[in-house]
Formats: sequence, C-alpha cells, structure tokens
Amino acid sequence: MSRPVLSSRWRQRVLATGAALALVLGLTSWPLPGRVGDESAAALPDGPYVCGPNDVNRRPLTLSSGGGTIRPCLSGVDLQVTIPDNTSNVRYAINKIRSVDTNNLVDANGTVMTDLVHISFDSFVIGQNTSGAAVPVSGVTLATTNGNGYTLNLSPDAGVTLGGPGVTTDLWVTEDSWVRVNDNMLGLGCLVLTISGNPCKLTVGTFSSLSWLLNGSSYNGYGMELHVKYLVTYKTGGGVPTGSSVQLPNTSMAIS
Amino acid sequence: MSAVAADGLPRYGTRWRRTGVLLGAGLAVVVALVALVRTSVIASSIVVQNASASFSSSAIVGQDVGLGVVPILRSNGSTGSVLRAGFATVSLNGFCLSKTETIAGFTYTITLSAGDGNLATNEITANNAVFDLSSMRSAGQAGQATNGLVLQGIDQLGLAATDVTTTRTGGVFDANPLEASTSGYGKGAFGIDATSGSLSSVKGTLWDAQVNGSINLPNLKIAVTPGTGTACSAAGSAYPK
Repeated sequence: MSRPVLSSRWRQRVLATGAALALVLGLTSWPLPGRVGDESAAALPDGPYVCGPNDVNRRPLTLSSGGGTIRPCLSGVDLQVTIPDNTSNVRYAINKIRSVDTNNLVDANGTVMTDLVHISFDSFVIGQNTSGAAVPVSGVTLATTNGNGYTLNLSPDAGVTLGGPGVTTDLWVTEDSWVRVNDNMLGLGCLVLTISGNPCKLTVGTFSSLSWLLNGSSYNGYGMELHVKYLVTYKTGGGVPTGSSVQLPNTSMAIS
Repeated sequence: MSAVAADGLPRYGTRWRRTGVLLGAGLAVVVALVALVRTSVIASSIVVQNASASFSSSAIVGQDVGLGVVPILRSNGSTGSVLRAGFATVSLNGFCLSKTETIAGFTYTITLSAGDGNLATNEITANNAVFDLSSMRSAGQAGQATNGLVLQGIDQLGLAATDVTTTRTGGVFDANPLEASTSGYGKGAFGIDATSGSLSSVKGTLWDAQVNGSINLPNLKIAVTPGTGTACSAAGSAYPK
C-alpha cells in the first residue's frame, strides 16, 4: 500500500531547497559592520591626507588676485596644454597676463621643481577673440607627459574655458612654456625686444621683463604650449566663482 | 522528508511548519534586502573583474568632485591605470551599463539600466559614488552652452590624486577618498579637484563603479541577452546614439 503524496515530492524538495537557499543568500548578503559597500576599499585614514612626513611637502602658495594662500599637495606631473601655433588666426583671448614671480615648488614626495614661473590669466577663453566673437579652433589638447606609467589625454574639439569671465587662473608652469599673443602695445614690444615676430611668441621665462606690457588688457592669442605643474581657478578678487570655471566641451578622455 | 506512520509505512509529505518557517525567514531577509537597497540604505557596487564595460548617461552632476589617476590590479593579474571619478553626491539623468561575457563558448550580454526617460530630470541619486574610467566621451545636445566636462567653483589641476577631496565626515573632508596609491605620498598620480562638476551626454568604458553610500535607482532593469547585445543607451536619452 502506498500513499499518493509521493507525486508531489519534487515540489516539496524544490520548496524546501528554495527556502534554505533564500535564507542562506539573504544572511550572507546582509551588511556586516565595516564592510558596507567596501569590496575594493582599503581602510581610510582617520585624518586628512598627509603630504610628506609631517605634511612638510604641502607648501603655501599665494594667489595673485586676492585669492589668499593655498596649500596643495602636488603630483609633480606635467599637464601640457597645447593650442597649435599659427601666426594668422586668432584662437583664444585673455584679458590680462600677469607674471607674478618665480618659485621652487616641491611635489608630494619632496622632489624640488625649480624655476617654475607663476603666471595668471584673467578671463582666459579658447575659441573667442577679444571682441567676444567665436573663432574656429581645433587640436586643443591637455595631456600629461610624465605620469607614473600612464598618459592621460583630454581632447576637447571646441572652445575651452580655463577660467572665463570674472575668474582668475593662476598657473605654475615651466619656464620653457610659451604663448603667442598680439595687440598694439605688445606689437611694439615685439619690435623693441626683437622677439620672434608679430604676433609675438613669448616664452614664459621672458615674462618678468615684459610685465610692464603684459599687465595691459585684452590679448588675442594664436598659439600656446604650457607645461603646467599646478593650475587653480578662483573668483577675481577672491572667493568661489559662481559659474563654471573650467569647460571642456565635446571632450574625449583616454588613459593609456 | 519521510517518517514512519502509525500503520508502519513510510510517511511522505512536506513538513509545512518547518518549511514555512525556513521559507518565511528567507523571504523576509531577501525582501528586507531589496527594500533596503531600493530605499537607499544599503550601499551598492558594480565591480568589473577583468574586462571593461560600456556605460552611458545623459548627464552626471556632482558636488565635491575629484578626478585622479589610480593604478588598478585586475582579477586576471594584469595592471593598468584608470581615471577615478569620485563624487560626494551625484545625480544622473539615466544610466546604462553593459558587459559582454563568454562562458563555455556562449556569449551573452548583461545590461543594467535605470531612469525615468525624462531628459529634464536627474532622477538617479547617490552618495559617495566612484567610477573607474578608461575612456569616455562627453558631448552635448545642440545649443547646450555647458556641455562636455564642466567644473565649477575653485578648480585645481595637478594635485596628487591622494589630495583630491570629495566626501566628508563630521564636516571635515575625508583623506584620500579616491584611495589613490600612497606610494611617494602620491607623486606621479595626477589629480583634479573641483567644488562641483558635470558631464553631459557621456558614454565610455569603465572597470568599476561603486556607490559606497546610498543610491536611488528608479526603474532599474537588468537584462541578459544572447550575443554581444546592443549599444548601451540611457533611458529616454537622445544620446548616446
């Protein structure tokens, strides 16, 4: 004599197995203290990150236009900002170019970066001339050149803003960096100083001798190659800009 | 599942009380887990093991934004560098992640998507979100004045990736939130820091996406399709095409 309940044995097994599985899965997935969403995360230090022993490599930098003092921890990586050079077509506009001073900075590991020139731009916009009219520009790149085993490329295909109206951009660049700019006063300066051509291709290392000219207003730019160790944007006169400071429209990023 | 009945024959049947207890407890835990994820209590993470995945979103808007180059070690032993993008808080206008796998000669694609299909709203929100990017393209719709990669406030380029800040604890920025390499105190690892920032119409490849805080993923859909699948497209988005 047998019982008819035997026909539902598979259903029973599936139900019991499913129940056990659900319980095990649920319990093993339950977040335990200290491992919430932390799959690849290492334990974070308790305090702010220390830049060098006793934070010694976090050196104070005084900003040029009322921005106060900032203490960044620098990577030491060159960011090469390139606007392909030419002498006939305006590619960018800058209201003011200031040569502030020359500094020796240190990177995060204490390596000294000598003779970096501290310059600042007001209202630096690529893809516009000083009248605010759009000008065509292509081939603008921002790329690291000495990263630790990698190259990071940012390639915008339209006008770039590194600062913009009402924003001051302070940069610490190597002294072989250069800009090609023009206006009436600087044209005279080019002639007097016999610097290569007009519009002038000026290496940043010569900025200090041209500061009496460069502090003027509104320069059209034709080309640029800056080797940037550090760049910071802030509201001219001090404070936080209300709008966007850096715009990289239609931009491709790749790291290799 | 058998016992001996009074008539001496084996007795088959479900111990419904025992099974019910087990089933009830299991289902309660699973339901609770799902509820906690959906109500933004439990953190979520997507980890891509040994190959990148494609992703897209119509917009990613973040507060306290940090970008830094970080070395990674993949599960297959290979190494590389990614641009790690961290956001203390972030909202997204649609999100899609797609990954193709091949197991035992069978190729299939897993696609995860979320969003309300409305280009006017950034309906996905998360705290402490991190994306490990190997490439991306950020563009915009015609006429958009602030398309592409936009950084706002005080922006810094050239920091050590270790010095980038995003999240805070007790009002104080957490140290090294991107978990960048601390070798040489971060020397050689390029970093960008911004008060806030956005990426519009973005698509690319990533190795890892983590949300270590809460996340709200409306209309979450997960699909597994045979083959290499179709291009990842954010819900309701005109981009990526």
